Amino acid sequence: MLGKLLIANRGEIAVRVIRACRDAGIRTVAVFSEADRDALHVRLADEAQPIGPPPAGQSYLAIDRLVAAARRTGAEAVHPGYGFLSENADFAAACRAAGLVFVGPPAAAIARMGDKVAARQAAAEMGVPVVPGTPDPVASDEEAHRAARDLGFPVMIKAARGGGGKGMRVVVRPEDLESALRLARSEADSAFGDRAVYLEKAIVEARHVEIQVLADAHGHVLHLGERECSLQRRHQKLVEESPSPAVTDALRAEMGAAACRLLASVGYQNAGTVEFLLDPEGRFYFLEVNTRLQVEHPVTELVTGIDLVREQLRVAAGERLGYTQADVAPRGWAIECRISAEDPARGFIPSPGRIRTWRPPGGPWVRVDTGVYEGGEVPVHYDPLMAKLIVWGRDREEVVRRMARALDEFGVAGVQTTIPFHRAIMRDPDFLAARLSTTLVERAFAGGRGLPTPSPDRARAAAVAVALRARERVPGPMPAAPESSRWAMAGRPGPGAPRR
Amino acid sequence: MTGPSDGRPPSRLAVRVEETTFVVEVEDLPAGGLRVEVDGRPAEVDARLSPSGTGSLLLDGVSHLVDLGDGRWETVLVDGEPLRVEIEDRRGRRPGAPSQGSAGAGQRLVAPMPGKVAAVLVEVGQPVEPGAGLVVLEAMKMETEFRATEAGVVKEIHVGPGQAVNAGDLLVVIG
Repeated sequence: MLGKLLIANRGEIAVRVIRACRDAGIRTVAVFSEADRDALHVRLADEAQPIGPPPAGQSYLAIDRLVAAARRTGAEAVHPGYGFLSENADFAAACRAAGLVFVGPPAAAIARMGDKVAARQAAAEMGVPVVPGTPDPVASDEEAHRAARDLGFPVMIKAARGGGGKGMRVVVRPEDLESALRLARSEADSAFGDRAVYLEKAIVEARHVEIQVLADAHGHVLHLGERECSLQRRHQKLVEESPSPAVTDALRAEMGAAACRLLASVGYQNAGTVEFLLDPEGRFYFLEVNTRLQVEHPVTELVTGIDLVREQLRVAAGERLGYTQADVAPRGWAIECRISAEDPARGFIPSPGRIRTWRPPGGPWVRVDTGVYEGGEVPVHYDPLMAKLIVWGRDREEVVRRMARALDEFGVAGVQTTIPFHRAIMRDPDFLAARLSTTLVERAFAGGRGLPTPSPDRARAAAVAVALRARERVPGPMPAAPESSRWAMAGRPGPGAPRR
Repeated sequence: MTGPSDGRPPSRLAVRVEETTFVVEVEDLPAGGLRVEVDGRPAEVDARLSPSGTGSLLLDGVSHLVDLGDGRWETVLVDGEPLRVEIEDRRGRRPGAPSQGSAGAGQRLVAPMPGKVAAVLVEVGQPVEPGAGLVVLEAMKMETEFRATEAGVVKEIHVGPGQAVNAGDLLVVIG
């Protein structure tokens, strides 16, 4: 096993990796920008190194500073987390050149799968179904028109080096194609420094289903089943679950085999995810490969009982997986809600600031992965994800009820959060009936619609509490001693059992 | 412990919670305890709150967990549910509310969140229609465009590209 590992990331994923290391007896080195000196990952790590100013380009994306911090501290390995440099082949190569173990796939596999067009070609060669589309980037508007006519509208324009929804456009009418191409190219240029775009047939009312794969350095490749991530807003995932209500055992075996075949063909090692679109007829199409740990990996952990970060560390150290596909036996159902510092009532605008109250839920099969704490700050410089709430149940009905209960317990004040949105989702008829699609959120919750209205009981309680507190602050004719306060000095309560 | 020594006069406050206003009357009883009325109807109240603003409120026997915070009352939590609250005066007007959005004619665009100005889309003297983009703010790796809510002319611009702003800072005035 490894002796000391540097985590080239921040937030909840840095904390997640630190915990896996401590479970395995590996010493940890955190890195932090000037905005993160007080962050939770710095407090939990064994050692911590400053790496520069708040903008990510000068800290969490600065390859030379991260490699220097690893060498300075004598770390043997680097875990990139997700986001930042996790899918950057140059970073993987720089780590290996410095004699560091990169906890992830070989640089060549990252580079091959990071190019969308090359990844599609690799999938097609391995007999994995791909969305019908142009084999190469389209060179001209005329070529795009020809290709769109052949594919049939609606079509999707995608950036060759894309990700995160940037440089992506759906085109329904032929007359809109040229302006959409122009916008997609310009977005792709500013986001990825590459104007190349290609065309695909748009799959409407599709589900987003992805397969988790593990591969060791000894040629063993297996999958840990699927996650459904159809609940998205502007191509950002909000809720994930495993298994998918739309995937049968036979379909799971077929999709899993396709994902393993593809990753084995590019010499993949470590954890990776193959994303697919699943159409209403149960046909699946290759979308892309994420050559890293996913944000939503815990739902797979809860149903399989396999600690994915631990497996990443074992594989990186050269160990064998030591089990086969037949040993992977998912059980029950898991759901994850992403709790972000965003205001769902105001179009999900960011809400950075100080966390005044942080009271996470508890109880059996409730897990909170977070990088924040009460009194801490959500900085304006980074992603708004504060925590992931992940729960397990024996079946979907049980897990949805438990998630609704856990969300009701979750108390956060000081910043606005997506918790009210998730509470509404857990009571949404389409969600309860497992009628999921990538358009559900936009349809049901656009502009804050569908958010719960406050219960009259709670509103009345708020009014009484505020009136009593305001009265405390109005000095009477004689100053009241603290002991005589109507607000008895109770200690901090633990998580209570809120009523609905 | 508590007793008539408090000697505070009865209070009567109008508290707006989201869209509903409640009138809450509170009086100390000579024998200790409180008499509380909400909208003229008596309520049974037992409240325990820590100095940090978190505590338990038993209201007519129903248990609520409340987080009031530092007393600026912008948002309180009741049973984990965030509720926007405001104390109104007796005539039901909001005292000292910052002039956000439109105030009759014209618009004062105030930053609703801290962030960095990514772009200013208008110039002083420029006429704008409702829906016209005014300022783009960047925070947490996302850009958000803020738009005109009514027609008018850009009177003042208080920020420039690259500038950091705090929540509540005045950005643009439309007149």
